[in-house]
Amino acid sequence: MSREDIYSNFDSVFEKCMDDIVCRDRSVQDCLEAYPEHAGDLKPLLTTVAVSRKAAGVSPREDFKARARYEFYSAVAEMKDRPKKPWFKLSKGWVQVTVSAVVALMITGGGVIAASGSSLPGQPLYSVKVFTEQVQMGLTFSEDARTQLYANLADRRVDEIITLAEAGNVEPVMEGNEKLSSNFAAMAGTYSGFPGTQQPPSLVDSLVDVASAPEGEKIRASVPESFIIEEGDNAAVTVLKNKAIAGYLAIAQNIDDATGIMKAALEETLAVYVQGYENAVIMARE
Amino acid sequence: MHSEQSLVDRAKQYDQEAFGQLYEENFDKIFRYIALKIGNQMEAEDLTQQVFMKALKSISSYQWKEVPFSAWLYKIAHNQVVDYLRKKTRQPTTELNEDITVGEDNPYKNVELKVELEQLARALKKLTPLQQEVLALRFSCEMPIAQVAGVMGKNEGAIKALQHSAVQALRRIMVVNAGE
Repeated sequence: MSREDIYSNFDSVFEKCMDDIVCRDRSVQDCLEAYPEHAGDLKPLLTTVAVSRKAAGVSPREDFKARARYEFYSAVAEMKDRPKKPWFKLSKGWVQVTVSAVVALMITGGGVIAASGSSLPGQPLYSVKVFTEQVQMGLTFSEDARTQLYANLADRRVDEIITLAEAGNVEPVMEGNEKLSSNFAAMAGTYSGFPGTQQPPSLVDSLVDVASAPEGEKIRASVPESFIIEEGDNAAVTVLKNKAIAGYLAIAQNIDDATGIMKAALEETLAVYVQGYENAVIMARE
Repeated sequence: MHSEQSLVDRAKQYDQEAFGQLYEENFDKIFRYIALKIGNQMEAEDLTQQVFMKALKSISSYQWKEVPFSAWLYKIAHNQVVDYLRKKTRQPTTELNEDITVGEDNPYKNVELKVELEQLARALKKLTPLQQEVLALRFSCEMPIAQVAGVMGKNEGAIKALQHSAVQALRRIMVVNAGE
């Protein structure tokens, strides 16, 4: 037998043993007993294989896997819904027709609108969801009704943020915070005297207090006093406070469950939320 | 093999059940492959998810070539790891031990195993790229030699010889490390 044949034979024996250890969970001792003529050379190598295999036997955390699985399955569903190529380019006239069709769909409770209800930022149907909200807002005229609608939309933004947080997506959560902030700014604009995104000066000071609470502990310790329902609160204020407390607790619960950068992102959500509702409550009271 | 091919064909149509099956069958193996190469479990989790997201985006261009679907996933994972390590070398280096806080809140209960993984990852980095690849595929994925040969585009004889030299080299490194 030539030197090359001997090496080749040892490679094959070693491969057989390695296969048994790695793929069939056999012990080093079993392999050594099966090939006593090679035991001296095999032992150090197979021990190295067994130790390495044990070290490599790690698994992802179950909570990560659950989040990752949800995210992946959502992405598959999204890809399935996504049209491969636009089959025509919209002209100006077609835009008008499309807008009319969307409005008609909204009025008749169309499937696309319904399907868009559960969509999240970044998903294809999310723009439909936002569009229908804008149309709905455009068709709402009284201050109280608009405030109520903005409060409902704030709830919706918070639900989206919590879903995104559970999926472990930090960037969309931060985008959600901006949308939530815009929603509250628009909500403030429904009251005469505070148009657009302007904030009443007296409130800015109180918001600074909230934002500067050490590590978010202060605002999570209990529901903010301004959310507690008091005698003399009018109906609009009572509705707002009830909504504010429910959303506050939902966000706080998720902060407790989150870690790292996600915790920081959700603490920002809570700060925006407290700030927005404190504004709304004071304005609804006036 | 034909059943996997039909599964992949369905996955190409974004069939959730088919893609889900491919995901469940391969997720842990791809995770171990990446964890072994980078020595950090948390980073490996994120990279593993990115591998599957990339696979989802590219599945329409995937062509069946009589090799397991996992071979394609390993190629994506390999590229992902290369990108990750390239970016990592551009950033200020951090000791692997500092990435995990060891304490009551440590998400990984088996700290000893984590340390062993890091040591193994460090030792593997001292091998040649081909040696690293063959051992990563063998240890992390429990992949038989024929499949490793398919993934690496080499014949089985070459993989056997490579594997032998890789384990010998790894042994030397481990012995030296243990003596330090």
